[in-house]
Amino acid sequence: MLTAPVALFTAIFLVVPILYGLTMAFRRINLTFPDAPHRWIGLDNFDAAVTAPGFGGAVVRTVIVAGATVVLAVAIALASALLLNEAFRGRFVLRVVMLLPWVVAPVVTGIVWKWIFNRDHGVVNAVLIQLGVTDGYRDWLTTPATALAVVIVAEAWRTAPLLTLFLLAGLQGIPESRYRAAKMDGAGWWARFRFVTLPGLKLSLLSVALLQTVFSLQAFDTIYAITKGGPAQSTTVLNYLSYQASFRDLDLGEGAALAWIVFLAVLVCSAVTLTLLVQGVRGHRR
Amino acid sequence: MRAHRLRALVVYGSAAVLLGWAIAPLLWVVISSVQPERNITAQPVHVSFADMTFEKYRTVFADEGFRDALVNSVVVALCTTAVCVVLASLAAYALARLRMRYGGAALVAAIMTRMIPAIVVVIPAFLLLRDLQLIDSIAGLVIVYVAFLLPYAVWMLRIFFEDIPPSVEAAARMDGCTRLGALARVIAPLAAPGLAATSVFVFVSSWNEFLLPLVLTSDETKPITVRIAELTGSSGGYFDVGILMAAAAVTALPPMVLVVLMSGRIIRGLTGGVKA
Repeated sequence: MLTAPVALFTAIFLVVPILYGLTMAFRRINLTFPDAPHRWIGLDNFDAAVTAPGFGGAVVRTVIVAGATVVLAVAIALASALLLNEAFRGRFVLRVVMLLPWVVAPVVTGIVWKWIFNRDHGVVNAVLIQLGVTDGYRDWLTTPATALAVVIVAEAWRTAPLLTLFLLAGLQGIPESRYRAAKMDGAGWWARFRFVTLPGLKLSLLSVALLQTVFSLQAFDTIYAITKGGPAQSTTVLNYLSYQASFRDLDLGEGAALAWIVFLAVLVCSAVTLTLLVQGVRGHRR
Repeated sequence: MRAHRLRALVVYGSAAVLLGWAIAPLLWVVISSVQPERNITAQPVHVSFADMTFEKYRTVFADEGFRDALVNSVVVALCTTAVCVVLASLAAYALARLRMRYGGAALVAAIMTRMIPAIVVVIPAFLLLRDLQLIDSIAGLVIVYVAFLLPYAVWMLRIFFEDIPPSVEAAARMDGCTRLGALARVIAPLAAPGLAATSVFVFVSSWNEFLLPLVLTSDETKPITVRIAELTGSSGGYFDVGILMAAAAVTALPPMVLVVLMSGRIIRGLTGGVKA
């Protein structure tokens, strides 16, 4: 049938590799011993991955990055969506322009923000000094905490536009009649926001928060461009740890195990999102 | 009246902030790329219109590695888009028109594949391509990209195909068209904007890919994203940032131009319909 070529292609070049990747997580594959057979070792890779010294830190950092980017990106997206929902001159132009951060390659985004936070010549330091906020030039990228912050800002800048679009769609789904009813009851703009807008957006906000969590779990290019996991592993999140295991330590088995841990986390988030969405749709049909 | 002016102030003020937030980093890249080094590295940084120079761009394009990478990016993206959109059209048509038993499940599965972190696919893809002797080849890269992007392309195209009333098709088939013929001659032209938007989406996605080509290509076929990452790593000590910014601008420009041209349709495809 018509879908046969697509199904076949996807099966061969996507599904099969993914499944093979799964089996790799259960085998001993280490490129420093290239001739060793790929023995099946059950959960040993997972065990080694989870008990490795870097794992706990990576998990903590992943949670921090995910949490912070969700808060930041969703806040930006909500503000942007509320703004774009209003009628004003240039609104459609703004809608296109605000999309641009999403369109730039993540690698380039990393490079750009790395330059903005550059210690000696970056814009941030220049502005801070001019404003008199700090005296010395801050080295954002060699302090663990601030390096993570730079990654978070860069990621939120990059993904907020897409979230904005979804929230905007959600906003437009709130019936005008509710706002009118609220106005007739004498509600000011803040009350209308609290009692009409926010409840109406509940589902959208949840979906968008979970979507951003998935994005954060997958983040790689920006981290590679900004810090390469440094300084001293302080921006190494789980996804990046998997990359290091495979390409620096050449332990493909452990890398695969870590990758699958990340994938599982993503699946859980996606499943939660889909369940909520389905329930939401059913709820509205009542 | 006062409330009116206050609203205008808040709205246009916020619009300016949003505009600045989105654009300022990109503008800074452009500015940094046309200023001579001494301006950019001055403390505080000094920007002057009179000093504007395109020498960074000249240097960037003089670099053979960069030019090759640019060509690679273009070729890979174009091929991926062509193959992907054609294949996806078939599947999207089937899902949109024919009632398929597993249609719903197929769509959900399609969305889920987008959730896969590239890292899961990268090494198996590497091993697969190596066995096919397609490492560091355009064909190999295109195959992997297409596989990765097909589900999303199908999802987007289905939305556009569903917009077309079946009666148009029925008319064509009554005139003797086969299903495939109807698809090519009647539906495709009607869905042209949607096809264009999906094509842009696929093109931009493959242009921006980084991890996959990092692993799957070497000197022959590395695209511009990998090349630019190399430019950052190569500096031990000091490095002319203007050149890096020029390279960044070149890398970022095509996707931006394409998306700006297609923005309305793409938004529709991504969100299933945002009004106006």
